[in-house]
Amino acid sequence: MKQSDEDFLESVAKPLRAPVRASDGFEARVMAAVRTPERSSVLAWVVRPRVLRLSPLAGLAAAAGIALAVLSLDRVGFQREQPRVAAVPATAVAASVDTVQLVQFMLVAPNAQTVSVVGDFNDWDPAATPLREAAGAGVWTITVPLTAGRHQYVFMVNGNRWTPDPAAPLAVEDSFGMPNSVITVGESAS
Amino acid sequence: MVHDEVALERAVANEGAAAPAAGPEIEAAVAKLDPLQREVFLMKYVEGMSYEEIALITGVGVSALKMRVKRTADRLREIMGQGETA
Repeated sequence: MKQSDEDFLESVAKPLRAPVRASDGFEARVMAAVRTPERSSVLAWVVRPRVLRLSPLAGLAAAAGIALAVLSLDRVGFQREQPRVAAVPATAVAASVDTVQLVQFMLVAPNAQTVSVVGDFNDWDPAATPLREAAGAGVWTITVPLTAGRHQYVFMVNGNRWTPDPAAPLAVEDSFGMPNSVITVGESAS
Repeated sequence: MVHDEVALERAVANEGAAAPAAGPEIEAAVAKLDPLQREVFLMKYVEGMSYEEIALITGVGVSALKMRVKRTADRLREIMGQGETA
């Protein structure tokens, strides 16, 4: 009997998810190879940074929808193994009719147990926006709607280590003794 | 091949890792998918996202996504079944 589509796709996807346990030095070599994610074709199609343009109304609906989707999942007692897409407070977007864009944050951190992005868009709350690990090899991503303009952020690893984004410019001003990373979200998709 | 791609594959190949990494056939097959098919496949089956979450992020409706997943399965079977990974 022909395998169902779901089972077949699961079997194809499973090795893409499996963390590879190997000896010391392996992660250093993987890190060296994937340090600039665009140059690793093995992972590029998983983590290619993507800014999706939404019309203002669609953006508001999407931002509200993300919050609503999380709330509705909570109401039915939905159980997930991985952190779901974090709810971005709808008010953060509703306050402006500017274009909203979805920005994917990514950090390569093979030894991390948890990673979250912490920035001005989530009130610097380390618990607000966890990243999820994809395709093994310690690549962590999350997609967040951001209003146009300049945003500062850092990553928090394992709940106790701050790190700026190695792939992003740093803010000139120095907050709390360490410069933050900066992302500038334009009016139109790049 | 890009230098870093070589370095990564060499790093994986030389380790003899305990858990099987994705074989080159699977990676090549997924790389051959149409970008929209690859995107929904990765989000749903590798990242474990729900259709609702994918719909919000991509702006595509849930039923369209499900149809896309079905076509992706057919396409992957075609690519992998015919050994079309060169």
